[in-house]
Amino acid sequence: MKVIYQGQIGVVAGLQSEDIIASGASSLAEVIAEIAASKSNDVQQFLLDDKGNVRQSLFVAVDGEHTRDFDQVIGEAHELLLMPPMAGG
Amino acid sequence: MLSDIDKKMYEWQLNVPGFGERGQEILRNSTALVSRVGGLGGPLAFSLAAAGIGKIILVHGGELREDDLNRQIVMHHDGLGEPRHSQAADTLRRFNPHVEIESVGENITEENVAGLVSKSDIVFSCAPLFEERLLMNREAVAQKKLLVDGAMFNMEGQVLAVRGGETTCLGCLVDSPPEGWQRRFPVIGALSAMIAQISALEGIKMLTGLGSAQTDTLIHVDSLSMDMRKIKVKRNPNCRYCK
Repeated sequence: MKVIYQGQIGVVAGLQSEDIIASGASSLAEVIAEIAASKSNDVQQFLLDDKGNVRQSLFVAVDGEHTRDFDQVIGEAHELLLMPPMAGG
Repeated sequence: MLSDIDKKMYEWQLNVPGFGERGQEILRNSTALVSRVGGLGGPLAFSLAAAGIGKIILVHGGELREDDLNRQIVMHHDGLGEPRHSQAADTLRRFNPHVEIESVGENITEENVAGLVSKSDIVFSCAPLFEERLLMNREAVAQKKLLVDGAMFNMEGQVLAVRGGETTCLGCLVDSPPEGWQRRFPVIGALSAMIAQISALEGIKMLTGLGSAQTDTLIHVDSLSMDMRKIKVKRNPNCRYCK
């Protein structure tokens, strides 16, 4: 699965995208938690809240569609986009 | 009916299939609110003036600083220290004296937002703070106005076109000002101007019916890779702004 890091996450992580292997039964929340565990604290803060849940403000799209369903199984997905909200004007 | 001046000035766009005199008449009779008029709102308002919209309400507080000038292209170097809203208004009036310009020397607040939105057919949300964007979103939804929210960070930007009360609004995606957003952000002016032009086009399309406005879609542009994505978005049934 290709993970695309946009906005502040991409800048802080110094990474535009990477390929990861997610197990077929992984939920979206589990995949994001795994990604967070592999990144610095600065990146983690954009992904997870203080309780370790996916941050409510994080914009998440799976295969080109925005989603708020973090319990869905996404093992078959091809692309995951993660982006904090932006307001530069 | 278009005037002879209108027919002459806008001759090239009157030839755009699907736009024509009908589209121009709609623009001529429309009022746009643009807040703020910095790196994104400035070029956006410039393009609305070029297109011949009837009236633009420019909303921007504060005075011009040197570090604004890499992107705020409706300002002037000799206007350093002077109010930005009046400089922007002066630029647009000189460019197209047939467009009515009203300028407001303050930013969007709880006190002024409802009145400003009520005077407008479409709201272009270009402020660098979520607090102002969400106020404009709230009022546009409540008053069933059109809204285009354009935003950027670093070399990326995004545009969300909204038919208030009908399609996905900003509040469906961002409920409240998120942690981690900082007022100062990295930007090259050409990027904010590019997002401005996409925003202007989506607004013109929504007003006139030209083509298909990209509602329920987050248009995202990454200028480093020059990828443009159209991400499908849906209304949030729990959205406190539009449910």
